[in-house]
Amino acid sequence: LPCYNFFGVIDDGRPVWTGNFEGAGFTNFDRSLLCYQPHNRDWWLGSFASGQLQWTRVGNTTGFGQVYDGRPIWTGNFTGGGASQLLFYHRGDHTWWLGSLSSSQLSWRLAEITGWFAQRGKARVFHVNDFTGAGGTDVLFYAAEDHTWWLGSFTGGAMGWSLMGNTSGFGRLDDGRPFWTGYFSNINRAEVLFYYPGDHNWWLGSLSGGQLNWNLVSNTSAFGRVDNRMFWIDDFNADFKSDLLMHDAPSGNWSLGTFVGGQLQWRTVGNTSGFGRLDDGRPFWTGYFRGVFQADILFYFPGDGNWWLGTLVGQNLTWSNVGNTAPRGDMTRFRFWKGFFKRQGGFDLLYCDTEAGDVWYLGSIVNNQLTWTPFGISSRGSAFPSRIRLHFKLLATPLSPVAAHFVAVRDLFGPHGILVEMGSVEDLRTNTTLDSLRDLIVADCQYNVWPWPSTTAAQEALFSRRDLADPGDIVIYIVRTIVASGETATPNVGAIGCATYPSGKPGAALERTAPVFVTPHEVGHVLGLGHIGNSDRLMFRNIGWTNLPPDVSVDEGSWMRGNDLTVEC
Amino acid sequence: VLTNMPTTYQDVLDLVQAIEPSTEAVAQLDADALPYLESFIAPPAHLVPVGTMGSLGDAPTEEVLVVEPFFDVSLARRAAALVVNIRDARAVPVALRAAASEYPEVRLAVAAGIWRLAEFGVADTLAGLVNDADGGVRRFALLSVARIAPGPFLEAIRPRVEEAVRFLQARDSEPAVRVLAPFVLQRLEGARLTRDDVRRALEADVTLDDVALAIGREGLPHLIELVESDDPEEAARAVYLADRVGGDAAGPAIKRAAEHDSPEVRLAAARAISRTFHPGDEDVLQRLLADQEPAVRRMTIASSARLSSFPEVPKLVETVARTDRDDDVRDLADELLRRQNASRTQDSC
Repeated sequence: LPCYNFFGVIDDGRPVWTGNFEGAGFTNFDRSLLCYQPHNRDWWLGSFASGQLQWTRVGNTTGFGQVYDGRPIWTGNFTGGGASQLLFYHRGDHTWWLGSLSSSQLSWRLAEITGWFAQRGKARVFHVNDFTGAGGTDVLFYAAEDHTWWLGSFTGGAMGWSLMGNTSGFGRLDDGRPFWTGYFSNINRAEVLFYYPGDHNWWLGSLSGGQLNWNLVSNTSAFGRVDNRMFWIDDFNADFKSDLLMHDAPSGNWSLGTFVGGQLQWRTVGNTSGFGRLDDGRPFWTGYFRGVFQADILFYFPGDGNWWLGTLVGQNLTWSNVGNTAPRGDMTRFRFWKGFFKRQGGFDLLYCDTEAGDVWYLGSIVNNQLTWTPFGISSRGSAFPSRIRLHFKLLATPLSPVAAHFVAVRDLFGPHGILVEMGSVEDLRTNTTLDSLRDLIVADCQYNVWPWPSTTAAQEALFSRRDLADPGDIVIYIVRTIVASGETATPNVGAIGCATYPSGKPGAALERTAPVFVTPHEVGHVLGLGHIGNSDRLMFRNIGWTNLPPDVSVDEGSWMRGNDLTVEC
Repeated sequence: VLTNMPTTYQDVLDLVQAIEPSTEAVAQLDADALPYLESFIAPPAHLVPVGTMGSLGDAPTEEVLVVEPFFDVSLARRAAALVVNIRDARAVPVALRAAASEYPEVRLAVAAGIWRLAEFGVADTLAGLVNDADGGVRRFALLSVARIAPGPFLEAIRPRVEEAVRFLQARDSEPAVRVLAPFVLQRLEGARLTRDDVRRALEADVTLDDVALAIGREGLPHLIELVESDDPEEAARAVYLADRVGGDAAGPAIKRAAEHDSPEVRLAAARAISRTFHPGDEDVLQRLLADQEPAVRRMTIASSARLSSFPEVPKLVETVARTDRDDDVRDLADELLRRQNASRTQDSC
């Protein structure tokens, strides 16, 4: 896929969350989508407006660096205000960040610093739900190394942690055994449930009196090992509590686990051996698809394009064919999201047909039929075959705004197929430890010396500051002056911009008074371009360009795209 | 004045506007350029050469307009840096004008290079810059003092400079200036640098480029000894400094560093040898090319890229390309030879 300078393609691997980010109606009904574009750190909100799904850019988190790095990002109504929020933990500095949507902007704030996490060992398992029953989403984590359980809750907007207990008697619980959370035994607060394959016991952990209390709620030794079976958690019997729906693919049996009198009781609710094995990777969803407070289970079989809805009727899970999408081909090539997107009727399924104009389709069950209707179109923006990312570090105040320097690069390189992304801007002007780098001593600024140019200790010290930049990103350091090292008596006067950088730390230094086109000129050097004699062109050796903005030739564009620092999209 | 300017105006303009000016072009500048340079530092009121952004063709003859005073701090700074590169007594008054500029960037350019004009009597100006209101200007003025102390050029005003430097040592707001001042003072007083002084300089919390300028070549004998320090970091810094202060006289430091137990120190030697190499140093180069650490061998190949004019070097690289046990090192050596051969073919064409 190429890189895009707008919404791009939803199927590009970006993370997408569903939630009630705008905070209306039922708190736990997902009404909108939020996605993050890892390559440019943009956040987009997709919500229903004017009869269709509309995507709006709601923020950018270049200041965090890359957040899509494997760290978990949870959604939940953490502060209890009714709207879904995002919460993540940054392992690097043990900080917790909470993102909330307000006035169409996703704003982030530091929720907590948990330095003591580091002392709790690396192995920990997180669960997110309303364990206290206070209305807000809590974070429950288990530290495997000392078997302790900790609860993180928001009170008055601040996050605090409490020790909830110790399960050393169970041994280590991070051995791969399955955990679920839900409103299993009551409708007031969420609980945590696990199954131990070693003895087939089921344990339910409930929070009361500031402690996580564990009760043995079932034993399924009669079933044999069940941890390899398929499970879904939802309210299938319409009692407002969470049930476990279990399917054994080899036998085709379906069982429902419900809590009665504090015990998890199992009963067989059907057999689908007539469907063949269902554990072939076909997608399943559960939810209130019919618009009543009873959850159903829905699956799609790519083999014949049929969609089947399973509803618990009396003691049986009854299946009905709700549609066929065979003419659309194999639907598993699309990503699906479930939610209360159109905000009436039941839950919907949503997908984007990226093969046919990025049209979003909403699938809703009406009159026992799943019907698909176009629900909006997202615009990719312009496509670029490659991209670079710039970061700016200010040691002095630039005469022209940083944005003007950035735009100069973006506008000159864009037509040559290089998407220029803004990484971050870091203000280091008041950092006194960098005083001696503010007037930067440089070596000869001969950028194209093979295999690498010479740099000074000062350049090495400055270019080591690459906070927020990924390894291939280009960092522009705006200094007050660039002074030639003068290490010999050779005449030398420094430079306005200098694109020599220590190996592996691509970047350039720029005098604060440099005209904006010096920035693309230096980035051009970083991407392998040399000087030329034509004053119309960007790579002219001095700032006396004629016909501003200066030109970049087709060959130069091609050369820069071929540079290792230019990332192929 | 402007209408009578010689025809080198465009050359000067080119150089003032150059983004990365070449050493050769700067070296060619002579006193004829001074009026033009001065026009960038302190242009005559209301007189502005047309096309200062490069649209001017040759000399500004008719093309003089009466417009608003023109001043560009970036060009003024560059012009001031060029002025102090012109070793001519006529450069002094222009340098003095630049030293009096209201812009610290312009004064800093003078402070960094004014040592080149020392023989023409700029001590007073230098003393003034040591007391400048701007910390960066003070830092570079101090480093300029270090370059010419304790020579004859500062003798007449030595007490004044000493007093200023003592003040900086005690009170300066710039940590780098406070750290550097004692070394500069020592040089002013003609006191010999001791091994402990140099060791202290190595540990100072300023960039090694500043330290190199502050201790000067006088520190080299001590650095050669410190290269053998048991502390690899200290030894590696000593190699870097020896290279900076000693240039081609740093050979003995590099030789010792190449034999150090720590790969970090040998790596510093591999890096420095590109500047310190002399015919006769082939054994040091050979030793580094055969180092047990691939990173050291790789760095030595990189340094060899700048030593192609020495006939023995390509032969040593060829051996590495043939026999080294590390793929990366062999590839780098191969690439170097390929480039040098291509360059030779081009030359002969």
